[in-house]
Amino acid sequence: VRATGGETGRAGARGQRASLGLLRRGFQLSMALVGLGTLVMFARHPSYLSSGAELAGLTQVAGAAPHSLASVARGVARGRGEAITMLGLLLLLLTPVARLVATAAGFARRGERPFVVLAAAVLAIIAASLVLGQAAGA
Amino acid sequence: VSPLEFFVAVLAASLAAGALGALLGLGGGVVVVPLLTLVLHIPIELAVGASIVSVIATSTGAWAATAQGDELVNLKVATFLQVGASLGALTGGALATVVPHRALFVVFGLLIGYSAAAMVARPPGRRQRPAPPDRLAERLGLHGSYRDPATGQQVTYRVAHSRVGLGLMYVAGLASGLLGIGSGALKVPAMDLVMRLPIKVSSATSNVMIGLTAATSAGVYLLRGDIQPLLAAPVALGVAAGAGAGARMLRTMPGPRVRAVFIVVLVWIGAEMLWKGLA
Repeated sequence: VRATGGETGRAGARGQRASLGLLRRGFQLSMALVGLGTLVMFARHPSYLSSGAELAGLTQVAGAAPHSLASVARGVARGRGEAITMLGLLLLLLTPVARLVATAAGFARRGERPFVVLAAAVLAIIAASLVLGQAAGA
Repeated sequence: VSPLEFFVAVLAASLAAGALGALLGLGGGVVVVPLLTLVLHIPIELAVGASIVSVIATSTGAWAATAQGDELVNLKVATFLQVGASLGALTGGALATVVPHRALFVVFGLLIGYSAAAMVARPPGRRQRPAPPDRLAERLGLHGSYRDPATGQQVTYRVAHSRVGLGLMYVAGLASGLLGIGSGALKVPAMDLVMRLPIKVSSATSNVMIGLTAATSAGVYLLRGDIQPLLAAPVALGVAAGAGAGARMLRTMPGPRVRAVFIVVLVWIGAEMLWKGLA
């Protein structure tokens, strides 16, 4: 019986390590996309390297940067640097939530039921905030 | 200023912001926002969008650098308190268009000034009256321990006033939602002064929480178009790299020094907020 317990413990630890490794790779991918997008942007617009006239247009509210999922996808397909960067930023913004899910799974594996409930409550609040924010924005 | 020069300037400042942020459990927005608005004349909406990116990059960057179950972080305390912080952020987001911002900056500036004064008045090491037993913390098993790499000692601590802490996190979350800040400046003193967590545990645990609080509102900023790639890219890259260094510094720096640096930065943030509200 004890051996089986040890086995599940080890499997749990393995699961924990696997999810942490996945999260870390996701973070590294997001940083790589942000960096790659920046390089592509400068490569495709050589004037960005020297001209002071370009900056104003790039730092405007609601400028030309893609900010809906559809426009990011279209931009990535066309190899636009700004869109690749935005994809990386989207991935980065998701990392805290993904970490919370992994934490909740860890609590579940250790049988810490109150903390699974608390983590689920936090996720529900985040979801509610997104829905409310979108409703307010529309 | 060409876009390339702009990129390099923001990247350099973000490295410093990330290191300071991860060391102290703050988002780094306190460094990034004034630089963007006052020095580089970026519209405040975009600066706040960049600040949100900075908070999340600090949180995740610090985590990725130490990772695999950093024992300074108390995940149970983080999860418990995050319920209050997220609820506060939700309320704040809903009220953001109704409440006058200038008055808020004054209120939170004063609150942060008060926290700084309280942290100076109660230096670590001075013997405190033992905290009354906290039945909720007991039942949830919130107490913890860690091996301090700075001293090589195993530090065991007990959590106090968990209900009051939860309420204070609601207030901190409210500030996040209303003002678009990470509000680690309120979270760390609440854990340090009220809940009696060691300063290094408070900072590391705040680092986990600020990322989640910022993620609560990040999607909204993104959809509104307040996140600009030329601005957000150097912030994200610089802050994430700086945060890795800051997180490693937190492991090896002695607690009293972390606390001293935190108090100095707290005074700076409080002054910045008062100035925003009164100027």
